[in-house]
Amino acid sequence: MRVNENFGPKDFDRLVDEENATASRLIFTDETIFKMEQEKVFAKAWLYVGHESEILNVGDYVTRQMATDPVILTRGEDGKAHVLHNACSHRGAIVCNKDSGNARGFTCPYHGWVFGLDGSLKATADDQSVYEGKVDFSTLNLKKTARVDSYAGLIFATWNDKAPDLGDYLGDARWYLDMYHNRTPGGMEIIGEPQRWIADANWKLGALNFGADGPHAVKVHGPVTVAAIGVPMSLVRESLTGSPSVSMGNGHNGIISQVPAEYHDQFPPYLGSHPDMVELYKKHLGPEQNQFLSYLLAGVQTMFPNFSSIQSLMAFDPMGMPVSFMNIRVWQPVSPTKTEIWNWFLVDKEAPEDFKRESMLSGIRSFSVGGTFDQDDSEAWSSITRGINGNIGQQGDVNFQMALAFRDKTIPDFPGPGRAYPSNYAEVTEFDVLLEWQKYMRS
Amino acid sequence: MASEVTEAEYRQLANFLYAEADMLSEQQYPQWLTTLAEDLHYLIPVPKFVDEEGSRQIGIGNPYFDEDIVSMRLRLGLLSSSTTTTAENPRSLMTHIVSNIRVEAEGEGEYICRSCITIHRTRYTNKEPTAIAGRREDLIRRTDEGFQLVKRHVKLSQAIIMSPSLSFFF
Repeated sequence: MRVNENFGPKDFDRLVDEENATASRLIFTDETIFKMEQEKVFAKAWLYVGHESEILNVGDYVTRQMATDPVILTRGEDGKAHVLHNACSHRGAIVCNKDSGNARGFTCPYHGWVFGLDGSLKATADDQSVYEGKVDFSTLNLKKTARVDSYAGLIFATWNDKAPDLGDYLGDARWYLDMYHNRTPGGMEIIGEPQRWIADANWKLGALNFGADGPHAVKVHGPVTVAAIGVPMSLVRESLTGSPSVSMGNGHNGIISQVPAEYHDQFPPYLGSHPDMVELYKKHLGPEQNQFLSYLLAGVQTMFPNFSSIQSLMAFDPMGMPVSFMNIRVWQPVSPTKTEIWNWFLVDKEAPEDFKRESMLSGIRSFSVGGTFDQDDSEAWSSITRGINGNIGQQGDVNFQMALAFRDKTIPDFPGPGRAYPSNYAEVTEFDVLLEWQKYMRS
Repeated sequence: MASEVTEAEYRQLANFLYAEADMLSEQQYPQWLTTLAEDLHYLIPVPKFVDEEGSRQIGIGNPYFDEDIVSMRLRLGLLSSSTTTTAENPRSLMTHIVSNIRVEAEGEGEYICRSCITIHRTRYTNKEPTAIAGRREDLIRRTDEGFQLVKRHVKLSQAIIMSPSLSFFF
């Protein structure tokens, strides 16, 4: 099979085989597919750009990527979040070349054009009267995204003026986002600037892994978990094979790994969250959400297309108890076989300062570029790229066929919204991320 | 209370840093562990591009490493066995290059050592080497068992890590 720009909907039927629960390996390596994704997925979907807590005050800004496009997320004088394309409307130079800061606006370093926090053009190189009225300057503001909105502190933007409202886009996933991000009156705050690193892998490998890949967690992370927390491997395996995976709709998917009942006495409730926070969760969340959180081992999810998060716990002191951490990340596509991973940690705003630090340490030591878990994941994804990029490798499929056994086994009385399956191993939800991708690529 | 050191002290500390570099390249972690002090603080922050006037701090930080001796023992243990690391199985090929060493005495038996470190690394899954460099500020203590690293603060000169893992030490 050869991919070309005239690829139509039928060709994407072949690239992702819903019936057979397989996909062509080309989707992880092909240059044409990568280019089509920029238009069909990343210019259409809602993309995560930042957190409310990063831009609290008027003039606060952070620079981000929306796939291959640089953007600035600002807090405008109107108090609203704005997402501006970070390229001058004059000749295209980057107008803001800082990671973060506070400013009244942005001055292009090339010709000195000046833009406000909402992207409006304030000044050109010379007085605008020099143009003798021949130019309509109202068309020369910085390009803005069509929409910006936030949910549970998470700010998303889209270039697509026909996109559904963010609430409808997230749909049932909001119930799960509430469980992880919206469980105290103050909500969450970002712990620090993002870590960024490059994996030699297609962006979908990260999105799928967090959507989520249960079986890898035993092979790749099992021995580390056993060594760090001091729990038996049987706990990890039983947790993953006995806990639900959830398809939340619109391509949003995840797993909820629970500590099996017989191991409850070996685990802190609520992942070792601060007791004062647990009291707030109990008041702020519903009983079903509290039930999931109370003996959670890991909650891992992907909001289509490239935003993922994990709520889990880890211990790096054999004598101490594990401490919870909340991680969010974005899989930014760079090329078919390169992804820039952006990684942050969050903590409940009301948590005591010393707990915030403990949670940060628990997080960076496990789910960051230096973390024991991410080191191993990134290496596995990079090895996939190496494994499938040859002539023979390209002709094969990637396999999600555990889904064949599980896709009809929805849990009938599942306490949360969406369709749930009885094992983290099901591969149904991971494959569901690709089915959503297929819908976008057919459009 | 920083003060100058003798030629002999400088040579001893430089030799300590060179020997340490070899241990880190070879991933001889049990041996390296014996050179770490019980009150170790090992910190590698994420560098930022900022406007000096408009700079602001977001949260408490999100460093690559912020380790004490307890977490370091666990990390080194995980990286020492092929069953508990995918990233370092097989081990990366590495060369730690130490240079620009400057030493000041800091109180009784302690030294502030500033040096530059460049790590040239190749992984099995990508044969193209990557290099990462930083400026280190160490606090090193003289003990009966030899020198021990008490503090290490590394300022990296790159904002994005160009490889999938930092599964090694600076």
